[in-house]
Amino acid sequence: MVPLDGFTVVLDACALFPTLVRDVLLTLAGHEFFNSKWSARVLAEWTRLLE
Amino acid sequence: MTITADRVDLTDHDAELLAQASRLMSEALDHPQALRIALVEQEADGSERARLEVPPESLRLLSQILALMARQQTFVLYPESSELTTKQAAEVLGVSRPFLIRVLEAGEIPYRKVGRHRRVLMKDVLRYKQTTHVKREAEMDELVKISEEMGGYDL
Repeated sequence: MVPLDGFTVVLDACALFPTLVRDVLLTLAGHEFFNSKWSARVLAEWTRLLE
Repeated sequence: MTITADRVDLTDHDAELLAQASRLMSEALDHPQALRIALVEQEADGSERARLEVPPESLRLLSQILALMARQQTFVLYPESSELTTKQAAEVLGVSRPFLIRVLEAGEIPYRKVGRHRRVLMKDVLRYKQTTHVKREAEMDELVKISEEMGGYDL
């Protein structure tokens, strides 16, 4: 049996940067509460924030 | 959802009834003395009109299905050999069709061609899903480890 009602959430750099917020969101996505998406640009911004 | 032929829409009241039925079924199955389980159709006066003996294993499955229905979620029951179109497979994985095509062309999910169209097996799609899930868990652990080393959890 396959559940199919997942919705998609875009995670911006401001959601990915704070470590705990990021971990909680990615963990929930890992348990299929929603599909998480981000773009190469979001990832670049996240990397810039880490430096 | 495009895979299912039948769609059942439930009211909250229906869902509550199904949840109850599912609970009763699993309780009956857990009862050590329950050797025979039957569904009984009754007349208005309480007398029996029809009796359907249900093998316990089937009832267990039925109970699981009712519990899923009670959650008012969309789900698909499929024969293991069912074939999906790329659109359906993308939907099962929660990805776009172009992304799925790239996954197929990278050889990560087997597919066959029917004319110009690609077909994939449900069980291969679910195996891919499981593999990516395991990979993602490992990556998540790695990310947490790196963050710890960077002092990312120090407030």
